[in-house]
Amino acid sequence: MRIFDPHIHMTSRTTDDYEAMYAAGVRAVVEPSFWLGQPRTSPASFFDYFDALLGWEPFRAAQHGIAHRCTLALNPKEANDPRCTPVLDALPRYLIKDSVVAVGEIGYDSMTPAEDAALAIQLQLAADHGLPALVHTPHRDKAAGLTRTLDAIRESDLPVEHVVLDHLNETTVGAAADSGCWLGFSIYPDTKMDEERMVRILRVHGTDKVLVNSAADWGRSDPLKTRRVGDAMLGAGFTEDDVDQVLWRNPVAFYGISGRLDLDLDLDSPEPAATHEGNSILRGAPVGGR
Amino acid sequence: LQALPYLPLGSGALALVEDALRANDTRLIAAAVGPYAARHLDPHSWRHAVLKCLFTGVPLTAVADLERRAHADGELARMLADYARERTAASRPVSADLHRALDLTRGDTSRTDPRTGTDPAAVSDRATPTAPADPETPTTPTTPTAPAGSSVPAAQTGTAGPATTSTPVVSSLPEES
Repeated sequence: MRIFDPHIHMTSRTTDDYEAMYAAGVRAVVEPSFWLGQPRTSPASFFDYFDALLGWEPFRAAQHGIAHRCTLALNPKEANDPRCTPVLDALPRYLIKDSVVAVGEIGYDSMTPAEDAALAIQLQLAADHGLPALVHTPHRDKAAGLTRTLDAIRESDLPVEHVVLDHLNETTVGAAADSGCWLGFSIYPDTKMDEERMVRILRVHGTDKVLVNSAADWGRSDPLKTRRVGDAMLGAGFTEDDVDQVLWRNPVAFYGISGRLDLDLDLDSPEPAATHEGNSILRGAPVGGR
Repeated sequence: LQALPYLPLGSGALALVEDALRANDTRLIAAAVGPYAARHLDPHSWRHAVLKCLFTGVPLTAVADLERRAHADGELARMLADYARERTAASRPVSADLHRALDLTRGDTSRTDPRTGTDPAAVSDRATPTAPADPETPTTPTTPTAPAGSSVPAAQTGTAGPATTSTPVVSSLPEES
């Protein structure tokens, strides 16, 4: 089973996770920029983070045989902080980077006017750069948030076929599917979706344009949830090809819209002695290790 | 945050409250929904703050002036009912705090503290309503108590399926990604 996790925050995860993910079949990930838990207080803090998603984290992932790409944006929550919004002015020079395969996560948190503005600007940035957009649907007031999100997308120049609506569930999947957007589902241990509910939704809505992710981050989450969904699908009678479509071909097709997804380049691990700007991650690694 | 109501700030410190309400640290969220927020937070932000408490497991007893601000708030009622529907659709329990807040939007203050273990689904016949008194908010105005029989069971508010209850607990770090 080959797995592409289209939404996971590896910056928050350990090398044990990378090893377990590789063993489970994960060969590619996309890491969306998001909120760090602790509020940022200046654009510079974002820029260092973006640089890490473009440089250090892909290097770290490659050490474990996993291709790493990212999506960059001002996240919905911090779009409300006027200290952070100048990030929007600097995004264009980041969005031209080769390993940026979408604009994201954008969308609504509390549905404020500031979030309206940041979402509209960033949907336009995606359209202008030929990039798809990863759009987070809010956790609070989700159904109303989806309606407002779809309005914002329709008012933008970005085609709905270039948008994935993420964190969907039973109450929002119908409207999301009707919109023509791609459908993202985050599988979490306690909140969001679980693998059995995911299988039930796949039975009703089919496997077309469906992306399944672990959204693993610094909260209680599980980077192997993509694999669990694959296993649950097989257990429920889906074919290996169905699983491959959901867990590999669909995310490849979606992020492929960027024209930048060239995964073959780094599926082979770099040499053990490789360094990123002079830094190796191989503290304590066995001689001649991977 | 806890000192804000004692300082002569007017609404000048709202940005601090809004910053804390974006956090996932439940200590900050609980401190942010005190008397200062009750006095100064706009209706939209206040409703989201209540929902955030439910979402992160902060007990609604932390929300100052809940009875007054929730009273006759139809939009809050809609948001609460939608959230209950979402939980039910996911086969997850709907917290007693959510039912209590929903009652308050209808001016019903009779539901007892959810942490006593009372099953809200069974509390349809309330003989002696007790208005929740939060010692943190001594200035809470008296909310008119609705007649005991006026409470509408949760099943009639749009909540799909039978409502279940659970004792609210402060959950682990909630999702943000």
